[in-house]
This record gives sequence, structure tokens and C-alpha cells, in this order.
Amino acid sequence: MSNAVEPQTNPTSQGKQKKPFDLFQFLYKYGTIITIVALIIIFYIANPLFLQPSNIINILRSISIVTIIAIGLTISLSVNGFDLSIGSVASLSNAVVISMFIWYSQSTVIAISTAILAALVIGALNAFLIVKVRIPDMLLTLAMMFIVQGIALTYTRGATISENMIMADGNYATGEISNAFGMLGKVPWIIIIMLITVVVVHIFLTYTKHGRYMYVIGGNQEAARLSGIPVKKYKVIAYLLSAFFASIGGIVLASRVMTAEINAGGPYLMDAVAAAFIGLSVLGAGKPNAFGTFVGACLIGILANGLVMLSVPYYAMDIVKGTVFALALALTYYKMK
Amino acid sequence: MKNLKFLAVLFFVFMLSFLVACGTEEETSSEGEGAEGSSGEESEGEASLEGVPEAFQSEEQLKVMVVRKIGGDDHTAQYLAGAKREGEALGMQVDTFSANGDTAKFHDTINQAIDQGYDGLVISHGDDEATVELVQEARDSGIEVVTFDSNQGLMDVEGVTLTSQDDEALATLALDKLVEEQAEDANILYLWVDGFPPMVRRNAVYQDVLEANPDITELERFGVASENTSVDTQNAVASMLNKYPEGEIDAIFATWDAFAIGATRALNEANRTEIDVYGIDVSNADLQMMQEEGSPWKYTAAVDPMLIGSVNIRILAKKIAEEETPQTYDLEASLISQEALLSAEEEVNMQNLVDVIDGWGETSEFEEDWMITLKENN
Repeated sequence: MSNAVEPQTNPTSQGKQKKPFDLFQFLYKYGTIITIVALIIIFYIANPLFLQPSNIINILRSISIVTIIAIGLTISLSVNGFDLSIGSVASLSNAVVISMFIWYSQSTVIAISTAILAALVIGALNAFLIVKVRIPDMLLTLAMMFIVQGIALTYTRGATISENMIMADGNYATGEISNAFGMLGKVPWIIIIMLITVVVVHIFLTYTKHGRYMYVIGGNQEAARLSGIPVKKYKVIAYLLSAFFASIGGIVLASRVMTAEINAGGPYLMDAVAAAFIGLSVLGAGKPNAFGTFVGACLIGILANGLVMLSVPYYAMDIVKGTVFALALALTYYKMK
Repeated sequence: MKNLKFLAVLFFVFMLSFLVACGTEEETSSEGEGAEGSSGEESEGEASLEGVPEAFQSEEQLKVMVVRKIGGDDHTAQYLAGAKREGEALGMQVDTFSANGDTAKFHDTINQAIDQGYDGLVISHGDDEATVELVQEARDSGIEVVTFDSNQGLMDVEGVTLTSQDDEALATLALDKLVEEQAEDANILYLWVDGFPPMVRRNAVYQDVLEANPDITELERFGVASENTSVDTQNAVASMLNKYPEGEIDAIFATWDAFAIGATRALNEANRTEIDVYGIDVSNADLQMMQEEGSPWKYTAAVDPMLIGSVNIRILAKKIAEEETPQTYDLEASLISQEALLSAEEEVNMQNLVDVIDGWGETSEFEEDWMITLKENN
């Protein structure tokens, strides 16, 4: 289909012009979505069960935690920052919320608020060291990633927290995880939480003054400062929100698996980074955006699900996954140079 | 500009064709397997399949999936390979998956398997509570389930067989040898990690042994389960060796082969091979290491991981054939000694270990006559 219309653009030979059909522009805007549609068609042909409702729910459930964490990363990217500590913060929140139930027999509200509070402390520390001490964000959050990972490990003493676990003093832990909390990680709630997160953050970033200020800061920090935007304040907010959503991701993960395993949130960091960067180009946004991140996470989820469905050997899955990501990113960056 | 556009089109076409190729290739290969299996059965005719349960005679190939939570180690690879080999020998399609320690991914895959209507599921290392619910769901949709080293709560789910390595026996075999060979007042290092059911069971035995032998002193303990456990262990043991000079440590008890590998490497590096390592679990790499000249790794207690995979599949096949199966089954453990390995004429690996250790890797447990008939026909 692209071939047929391609010659039309040649006479103008001005890539940037909007009016005539521009393949670059088209691929840039829709490349990710085309990839997703192509994958869905391929997987559907291979196994029609792929598109049955319960499998679609499976996919949405499998991406919900990644999406929530990636949304936090998207916010830090919007101010041209980068938060590598999100995976560890998710682990920490997971550990704190489960321990509140099992070790300290606390109520659901207290357990969740403690976990969020712990994450916000990390977020504030990130923001302080980046904004005040001026450590480059990538390096600082890398250091913070290790610190938080260590804190989470130390807090759980390197063990998995689960109901009826044996405590250091030899007794059994008597606390139980409340049923209400267990619902968070179940369909439909886990998917609803993800969708609300995506919609709210998308509206916040795209349609509110604060979100637009963040994009201005991300575009040109100096210009933003000169035009009177409180740059530091917004950067602090961005890192707090990043930690907040990482924490929500960790809490939902906790509710889903009902235990706190060591470094449980760690694997989500890389998937979140992939989702957010694939999302950059979706619909031609050209900047980190919540909807694009969601689409990126969908790509990850569809791939993971479809590869299992095709009975691809588990050890070869990452090859295909990485290749598809590279292609999706190539569509974005080939244009941008 | 024109060139660039051409490139872009080429690129796009390449991308699509790559994806299509990927898809169709997998498709044809799995169809190929299917066709092979069923045609094999057909060509043999009904007569020779006497006594084989109906489910295994039908045109439609049986599909089972083996889902394992942990991964990245040799045990996983062998376990899955053992299950695949046995299942395919019985004419079933066997898909295997390892979640590499990611619990949510593990659950996603089980959900997916339930959806896709597999006939049977083998769940390995589903130690969390949520797995119990998923297995219940699978049972409700009529899928047969066998588990290995998973949550004890699965006892409450009807029709599930829980298999495990006999961890008590594993720990006892290794520790009894340690107590027997070392001095009464031995000083030992303990490599162990909390939080996994088999580890908890191994630790219980260890505590009993310490109690029974009050003169044995545990100097230090260490253990993390990470993506590079053996290197982490190596580093930790190396620093412990610095802390305790020669003569102060007599032995190391490693409750997992990844720990034993790390400890052995550290001892070799520091030239402290007078310290003996007593391990649990085995793999090809482990055997190699035990046979190296002067290796401090003296004993390892283990169950053949491939055998675990096959026995799991056999029990599953019996369930699909609607035969009776026990609720729990412990796989027998054996002790592999360095001495036995070195006495063999050739290098010992997982394949010829059976020649060295009696009863290794072979069992007729749950191997029914109809399975043998099927294997001969496939």
C-alpha cells in the first residue's frame, strides 16, 4: 500500500512538507501501531485463540504493572530527566506493603499509605540530589537503584515475605493479607487501575498547565526558566510522581503475587524503559506521553503472549522481543536524525 | 531524499516480511511435529496400540505445557528437556516455559495455558499462594495438573499430584557424610537462602544435625538467590576465607549447587582446597568441577533433574488417561561422591553417570505398559 502512493511524494521532494503523502511521516506516526496490528494478525493466523476475550484480558493484565511503572518513568522523561530507580522502588513498596500485613497486622489503608510514603521519601531524595546537588539524573538514579534495592533486601533480610513465614525469633508470622487488598491485583481491578493511571496522566501532561510546563522544561530548560516557569519545583514534582507510580506498580504487583520476593520489581525497569521509548513516536507525539507508553506496553505484552502461543522456545524469546523493539525504535529515530 | 525514501520502503517491507516469516516458520514447525506424531500413530494401526488409553489414540494430538518459575540454571534446562523428551516419546506436544524468576510472568503464562485449552499442565516451583488459585482455575476448566516443588496449599486442590525432590533425604545424605568424615568439633560455613520451600526443608534437617552434634560450629552463613548467584557466592566465600586463615575452616555445606560452584571456585582461587565442600543438586558443569584435579567439592546429593521432568510427565499422562495417581510423590535422592566419579574410566557426565551411581536417572515408577507400547510406536 505504501508503494503505490510513494511516487507522489517524489516531485515535491521536501520531506518535511505536510500536504503530500509523506512515507516518513506516516511510518513515524503509525509505525508502532502498524507493528502491533501486524503482530496481532500474525498471532491470530497462527492461533485463532489469540483474540478470544479471555486472552485479551490476559494480555492487559500482564502489561498493567509494566504500564503503571512506565507511566512514572514517562513523567520523569517529560522534564528531560531519567529515573532508573523505579524498579527498586517498586520492589521496596512491594516489600513494605506485604510486611505491613504479615509482620505488623496493619489495615489495608495503612499498609498502602506506608508503602507510598516510603516511595515518596526516595522520590524526594532523588529530586533533592538532582535539583540541589546537581548530580546528573541518570547517574544519581542509578546509584539510588542500588541503594533502594539494598534497603528492600535488608528490610526483608534477604528472604521472601509470605503468609505464615518463620520469623527470626522462630515463631510464625500471624498477619494476613486483607481480601480487599488481594482484589487490587485481580481482574478487573488491576486493568482498571492501569487505565485510570494512563488516562489521568495523559490528561495531566497534555491538557493542564502543569503538564505543558513540564514539556517546556523538557524541551529547553533555560528557555523555560527565563519565561518564568519554576523549573526546580516541576522537576521535584516529576521525580515524586515517578516514585509514586513506581510504588503503585509495586503495590499492585504485591497484590497480584501476594508475597514479597527479593527484587521483585527489578525486571520491570527495562520493560518500562522500552515501553516509554517506543511510546515516544506513537501518533507523532515526538515526546514522552502516557498514551504512547501504553501502546509501547501493549506491544511488549502482545509479543510476550504471542510468542508463548506460537510455542517459541522460552530461551529464544528475547531474541524476537529485542528485534521487534529495535525495529519499532528504528521507525522513530530514523526520522528524527 | 529519493534514496532515503527508497530505503525506508525497503526497510518497511523487510520488517513486515521478517514478522511474517517469524510467524509462519513457527507455525509450520509446530504443525510438522503434530503431523509426524499423529501419522506415526495412524500408520501403526489400532492393533499394536492395544491397552493404550483412548486419549492417547485419538487423532488430535494431546498438548501439555510445562511452566517453571525459576530459570537460568542447568537444573531448569535439564528438567524441561527431560519433560519434553518423555512427553514427545508418548506422542504429546510439549511446550516448555521458564519465567526466569518473574512471578507475574509465571502467572501470565499459566493463565494463558488455561485459556489455550492445554490438556495438561506441569507447574514447577510455584511456591506462592496465588499459584494455588490458578491451579484451582485450571482444574475447574478440566486441565490435569502435576506440580513440582510448589506451594503445599496445592494439597487442597482436588486431583493434583504434588511431587518434590526428597529434600530431607538430600540434606541428610550430604550432612551425614559431613558428620562422618569431619572431626567432631568441625568448623563449617553454611551456604543457604531463605524463602524457598525446598530450602526451608533443607534448613530444618541442617538445624537437627547441628543439634545432634553440638560440637560442630557454624562460623558464617551466606546466601542470595540472584541472577548470578554463583559469582556472588564466590566473592562472599573469598572474603570469608580471608577472615578465617588456614586451618580454621574444615568444611562448607552448600544447600544448592550454585552455592557449591561459587564456593569451589573461591577455594581453588585462594588455594584452600583442604576445605571440603558438601553440596546438593547436580548438573553437567557440577560433575566437571567435581572431577577437576584437587577439587574440594567432595560430595553432592541429588536427584536427576531430567528424571524429575519425565516422572512429572508420566504422572500427568496417567491423569489424562484417567488412571489413579497419588497425591504426593517424593523423588528418590542419591549421593554422588568425587571418589566414585574419579574411579570411572572416562569423564563422567550426566549421560553416563548411571554407570557410576546405582539407580541414577532410571526409574520405572509410573511407567505403565501402555506407555512402553506408545514409545515403541512413536
